[in-house]
Amino acid sequence: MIALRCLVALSGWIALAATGLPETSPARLVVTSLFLLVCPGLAAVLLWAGESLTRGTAGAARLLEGALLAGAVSLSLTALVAEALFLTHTFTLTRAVLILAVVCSALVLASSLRGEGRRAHRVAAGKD
Amino acid sequence: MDYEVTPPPPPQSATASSVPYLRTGRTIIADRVSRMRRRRSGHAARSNPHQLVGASVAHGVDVGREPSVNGRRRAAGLGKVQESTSAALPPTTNDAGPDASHGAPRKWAPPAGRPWLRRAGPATWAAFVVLPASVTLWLLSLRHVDLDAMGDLGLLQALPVLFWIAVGLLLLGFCVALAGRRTPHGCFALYVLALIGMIHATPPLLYHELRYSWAWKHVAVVDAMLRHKGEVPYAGGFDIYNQWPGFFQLNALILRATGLESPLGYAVWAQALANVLMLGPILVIFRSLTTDRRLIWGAVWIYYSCAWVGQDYFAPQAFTFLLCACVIALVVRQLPSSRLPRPDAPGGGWPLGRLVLVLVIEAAIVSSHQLTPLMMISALALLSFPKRNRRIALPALAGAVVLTVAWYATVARPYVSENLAGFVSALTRPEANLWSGLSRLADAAPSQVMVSWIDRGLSGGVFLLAALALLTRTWTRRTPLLPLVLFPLPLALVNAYGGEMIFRAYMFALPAAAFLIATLLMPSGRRPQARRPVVAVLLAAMLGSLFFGYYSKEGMNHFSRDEVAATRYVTTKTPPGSVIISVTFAAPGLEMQYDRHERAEITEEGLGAKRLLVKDPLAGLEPLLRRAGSKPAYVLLNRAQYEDVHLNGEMPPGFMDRLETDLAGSRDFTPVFRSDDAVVYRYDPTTGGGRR
Repeated sequence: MIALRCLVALSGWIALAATGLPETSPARLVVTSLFLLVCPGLAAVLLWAGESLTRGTAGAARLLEGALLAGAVSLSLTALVAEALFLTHTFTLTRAVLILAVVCSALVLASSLRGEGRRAHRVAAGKD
Repeated sequence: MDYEVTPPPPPQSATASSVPYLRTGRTIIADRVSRMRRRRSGHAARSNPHQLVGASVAHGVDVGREPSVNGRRRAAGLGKVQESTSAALPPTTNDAGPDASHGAPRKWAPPAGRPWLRRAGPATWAAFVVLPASVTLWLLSLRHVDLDAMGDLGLLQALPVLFWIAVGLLLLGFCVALAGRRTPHGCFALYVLALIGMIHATPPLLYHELRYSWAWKHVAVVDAMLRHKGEVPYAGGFDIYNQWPGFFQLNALILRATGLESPLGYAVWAQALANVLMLGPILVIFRSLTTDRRLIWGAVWIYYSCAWVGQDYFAPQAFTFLLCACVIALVVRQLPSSRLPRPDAPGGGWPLGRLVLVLVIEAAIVSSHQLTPLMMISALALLSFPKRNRRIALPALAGAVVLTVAWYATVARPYVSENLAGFVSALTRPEANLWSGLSRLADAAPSQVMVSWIDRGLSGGVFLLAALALLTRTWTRRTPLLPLVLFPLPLALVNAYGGEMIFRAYMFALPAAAFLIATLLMPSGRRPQARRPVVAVLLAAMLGSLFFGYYSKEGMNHFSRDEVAATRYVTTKTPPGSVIISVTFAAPGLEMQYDRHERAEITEEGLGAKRLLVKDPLAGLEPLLRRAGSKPAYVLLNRAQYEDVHLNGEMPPGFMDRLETDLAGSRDFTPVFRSDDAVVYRYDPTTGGGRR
């Protein structure tokens, strides 16, 4: 889970760097499309529905729900950021990817802090 | 607390779990009580299962809950109570281990290796063998398809026999998989993916160009928004897209980020992709209703076999339909009736974070499409009628209402204020709204009349079977299925949506209707062998009807490279401000650079203008040509327009031939582009306006 968090937190910045590659570069195509279609939602799921990323008692049903949430929220967040920038006539590619990268990193950071807080609470309560 | 290890549960009550079963003393008592009740009520309990649910709940047993999802087990026994009373619940999974059918307890051993491999029966193995054979035949069948063989029934006439053998084999394999008690989810999933591939990947594999003129229109809107960095000026009738831009601007961002030039490359695969993605929300909805995998996958198969409406191409509707299904899935899985474990939340409501995620998806829907937010509001409103659902449905409903009203009052205000009178007057014509899409068969080609009746038969049959299921499978009335089937109806009554509403209503209602049909056709433990031939015939009829509805208009829906070259010429090589005239809408990319050209369609003209055109095509064109003023005017005729006029009968037979002959013979029109499938004429009026 730690590796996943790190990857999601960095994904936006990697995508931002990839936008500097030539337009015909396959690496740019893969990195940016993966980021826009998966990562913002995955970061939000890590914070607000992290249990959906583990099999748990419901098995694959829960993973399916996690994937559904990550995909739908990614598409939605990407669309909303693009709309906000287009409607305010401030759209640039760098600005759009930068906003999404910051959102991703902030959500992952918040989910990590919350995880730490819960762990500390359990230790304080003598449950660990 | 004492625990004991027990054998797997009996066949009718098993769940898919393969972990050791831990039971508390409380659970054992509850099991005994349940068994006693079942013995007493016998078959009656199976036919009216919710008697026992009510009893269990009345005794304070939290039926249907599974352990907390935050990593800590709640009472370990609760999950087992669910199993013990599963005869009283919506059907659970049918696989119960190899010996479970004997009903005798056996020593339980943990599964070794892959559980489904160990448990797979002959039917499952047969299904695994048939699947690759079917897919191989399908791919082989696409090698030498002659698209010129398309006639009045489109692709149905062009596809070889091998294709239909592959489809039949796939259906047969799926029926065999359904017969297997231990067929795993993965096997069913592969069958459904193969079905999606056969239905939705066949056209892109066969065609060189993007299918559907409407998909081309949306590509043009993305292109225009990219050129103008947002709102497109001089958009004319396309201004509506400026007011619901979510889908287009999402694509614009993706294009800019990936470096792709145009969405054409991936729009070709939009239908296959949309249907694969749709699998996610409908599976979550169905798994919230039951754990019976045959019921779940039977319903999924029925959904894909009946989704003939074809609103899954590159369009805001496909995008928002997917998101709307996600919202409904997230709400349904959170309801108290859900069979999936619910995340902990104070008072049985939403965990705050999940509600935020739902609101984000709702915001994207509201800003991307005109109709879908209203459908979503209708669904959430009906779901919130039962008191037990309100803690879940009302917050989502309130969010949807607030976001929709805010959008309508701000960004979409011009469109709403312009059409408000029309919306209000439509309220007084519910019958006309409902049937407005069904009254255009008089002039259509005989093949299309037949196809239309097949579509109507399929749609009517779906709702009839769904109603029958609601009547006979009483447990379904305690699930959210009824509101999920009915929610599009209020909107179908209040607006015609340009004659499209009834089709959209069918599309939105189909997932729930498919599940209801599955409960009718695939009930658990009710002599399934006797039903198998009936089920197979019904599934074949559904799939056959879908192919008629989906493939029979391919004559006008697919385009050749020549047609694409002609429309590209007329939209990019002509001076800005030119008027581009076509007979119908069936041309690939006719709207490209719509902000720079004016367009006119003969079939969109009034009755008087059409009569004049039929009487004398060149004289009838003059009012359209006058719109150009001093700017040039062009007439585009292509093969798909011929097919459109022939199939839909919007102009009399022979009109297109007469028009082309007259244009070719007139000194006022100069052919500036000609290929096998398309011709473009420029209007060059001679002095004195004399014609041939």
